Amino acid sequence: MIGGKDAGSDIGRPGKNFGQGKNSWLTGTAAWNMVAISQYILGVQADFDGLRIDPSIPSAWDGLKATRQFRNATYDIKVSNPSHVCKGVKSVTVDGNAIEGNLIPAFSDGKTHSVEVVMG
Amino acid sequence: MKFGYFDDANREYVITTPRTPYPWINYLGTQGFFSLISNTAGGYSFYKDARLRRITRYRYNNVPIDMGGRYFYINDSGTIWNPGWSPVKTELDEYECRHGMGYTIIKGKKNDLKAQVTFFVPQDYDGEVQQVVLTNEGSTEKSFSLFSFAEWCLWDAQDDSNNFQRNFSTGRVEVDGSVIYHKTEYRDRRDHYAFYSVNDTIDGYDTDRDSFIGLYNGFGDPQAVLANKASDSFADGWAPIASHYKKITLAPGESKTLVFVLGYVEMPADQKFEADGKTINKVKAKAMIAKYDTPEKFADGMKELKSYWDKLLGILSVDTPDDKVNRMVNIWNQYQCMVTFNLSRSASYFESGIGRGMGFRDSNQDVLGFVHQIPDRAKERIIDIASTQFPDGGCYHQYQPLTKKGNADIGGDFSDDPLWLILSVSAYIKETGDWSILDEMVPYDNDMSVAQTMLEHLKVSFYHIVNNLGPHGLPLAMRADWNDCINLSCFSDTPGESFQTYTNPKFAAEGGYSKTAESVMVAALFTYTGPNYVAILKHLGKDDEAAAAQAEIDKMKKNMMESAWDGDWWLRAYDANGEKMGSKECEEGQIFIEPQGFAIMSEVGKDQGAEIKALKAIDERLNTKYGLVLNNPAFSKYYIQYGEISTYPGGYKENAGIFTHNNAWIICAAAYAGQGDLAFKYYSEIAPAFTEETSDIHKTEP
Repeated sequence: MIGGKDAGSDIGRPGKNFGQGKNSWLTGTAAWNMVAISQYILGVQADFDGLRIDPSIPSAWDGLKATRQFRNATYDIKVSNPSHVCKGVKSVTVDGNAIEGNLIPAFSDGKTHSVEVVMG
Repeated sequence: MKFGYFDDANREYVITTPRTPYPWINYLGTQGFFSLISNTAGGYSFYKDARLRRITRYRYNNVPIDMGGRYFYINDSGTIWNPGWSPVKTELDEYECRHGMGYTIIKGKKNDLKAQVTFFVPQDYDGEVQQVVLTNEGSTEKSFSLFSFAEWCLWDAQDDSNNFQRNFSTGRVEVDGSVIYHKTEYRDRRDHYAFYSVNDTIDGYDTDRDSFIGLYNGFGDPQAVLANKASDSFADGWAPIASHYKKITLAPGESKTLVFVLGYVEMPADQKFEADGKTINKVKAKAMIAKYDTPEKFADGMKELKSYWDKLLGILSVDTPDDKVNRMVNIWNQYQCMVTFNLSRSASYFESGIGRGMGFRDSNQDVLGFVHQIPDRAKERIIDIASTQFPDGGCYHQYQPLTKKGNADIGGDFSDDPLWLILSVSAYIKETGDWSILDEMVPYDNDMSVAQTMLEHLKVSFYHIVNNLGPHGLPLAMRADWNDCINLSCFSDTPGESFQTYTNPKFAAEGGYSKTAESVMVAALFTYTGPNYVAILKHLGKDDEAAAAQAEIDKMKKNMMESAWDGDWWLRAYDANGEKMGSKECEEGQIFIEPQGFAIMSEVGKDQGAEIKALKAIDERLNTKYGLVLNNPAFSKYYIQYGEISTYPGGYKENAGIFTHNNAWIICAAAYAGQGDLAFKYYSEIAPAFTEETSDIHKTEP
């Protein structure tokens, strides 16, 4: 827990202890922030039928790279954001071949696969 | 203001002053043996269970703070100091603490004598290994004494801190060469002992605390260190400790390296003693000591630890335009996920390790951040948790990690608990593609004779919500949901009644809790979680069951739109009087964070603009520069119908404090809704790599 903007209001000094931590960054914080940044913002999501790439990033970003080991294969992921959008996948190629949608199959072949994602 | 810096190449946080705004701690160990260690070497160790198998003693909420730990004292011609500054607190000429992945290095220097102490818990090893390197950096010969110190806990940390009429008479030790053994109750009912060793001859020892420290002295001025001499005391009751005493002389530039092991050993009943039937069998302890009895073996152990983390952190790594994001994702957040998975917040500097075991909802959520690292351990944990469930889908709120049994003191009836199991099982399958977890036979209440498949556990979890709806068709709030401090069946006016376990007798006729109070948060969590259950059923070809489950989700969404939408955001609950909680009609507590994110990610009312309106309300009413507060406006008086939440002064805890846990739900929701800029803003308000700059305000470790 971190003191909120009202912390101190009880003694007539609201904001006195605003921002003061009283616990470590553990609790469900660790897991949910890992989910938030890696799956929801950076958009690398394990799904029932494969690895889904669906970033929702700051529009100022040109893109990002990620390496993910997933079900006995390695995915080298390169996301580019030429139109500077926050979200939206325009095209995906896997090992140079365009695929429909943004769900990359689970290859499970022990090999490294190159995934290129263009947002827009 | 900062008190250190991130060293990304070494994956360390480097603390440059012992006077941090609060003790900044690290966690050592990943399997059975765990240690908490602060930047001044305070803290304690335990085996699996911080309450039932505490190895060293620690005093929470002490004056001064953070007293007790593994201390090395140096008496250098009358100048007495610790490499980590505390507890003697002699000003050091140099100080540095490096908290790394599963190890901590503390360096101190005084009067040309340098001491570097490295602490770590090796893989597959039930002990903390400590290497002390002493170097004479001066130009003249130095003779000084080194004292080690650890204070034994009499195993059960709760009993240890109150049953003094017994405990002052039971403490027992053995000393064998340079090894001090702690064997309280080993003769009788225990199959375990602990030891503290050093890989060299010693010039004396102490095993009785009062002999070492002195009855009226403290950790900062132990009389043996002041006298520069151990008394070879032998504990017989009172407070057993372990302290080695070693005289050392170093030529200019010369170094001396010592390796200490603080270990834990379990022995089979027929092998507990040597032939005399009294002396403890030390075979296992000696093997543990031999494993790290040279600096080379110590270095190998550290290398192994590093490659373990290289491998774990190699599973996911990112390269984004923001170094702080890379630092969080590639190093610290993943490390935290491992720590949380292991300890499940049962022990920290804010959880005493005796107050609680592992939580049903907590450990299921921990799996979400950990499952990609070691899926097999996640699977084992999920099965352990599910084993404490009841046949109707309800479950114990907590269980003890040592026994893996549900904790009857806390009981059940927390309305959100079952849903987290659906989420963790889904995360495991998504990560691994291993659908066989659904076929595992998992007991109810640890009774294997009534075991059912995991799939059946998911079914009873899902229908536990469906079968416990209130007047608006929303899930009953029961004792509490995720927010343990919203207790709508409590109505407590007497001190000592636990808000989490006490329900007002007026609800006895209704089955123990109000059948009117409903949780919108659980409704939203249900619509967020439920589709995973539906997808699982479809995958298994159970289309009828899938359709039936989907119909329940659709019905819940409809009920939410009819009764839980407040116009600009989602209500929090209906209380036991049937009144709205978290509505603009309320005087205080008009908006709450918890239901909003899951409702947005479930797309409830999206076509009617609910998503955009709720995100706007959150930004306007809950956001601050240090994160999103839980509710607003804060409660300024006690609302008996709401329970614990309104007992806190405004701005603290669940009464408008900031919970980085539920902030993440809004980050997810904003990202889900396509508002990446907003999601990132909320993330950067709370993530430690970003808040490091305000460590003086934040106080706790980055």
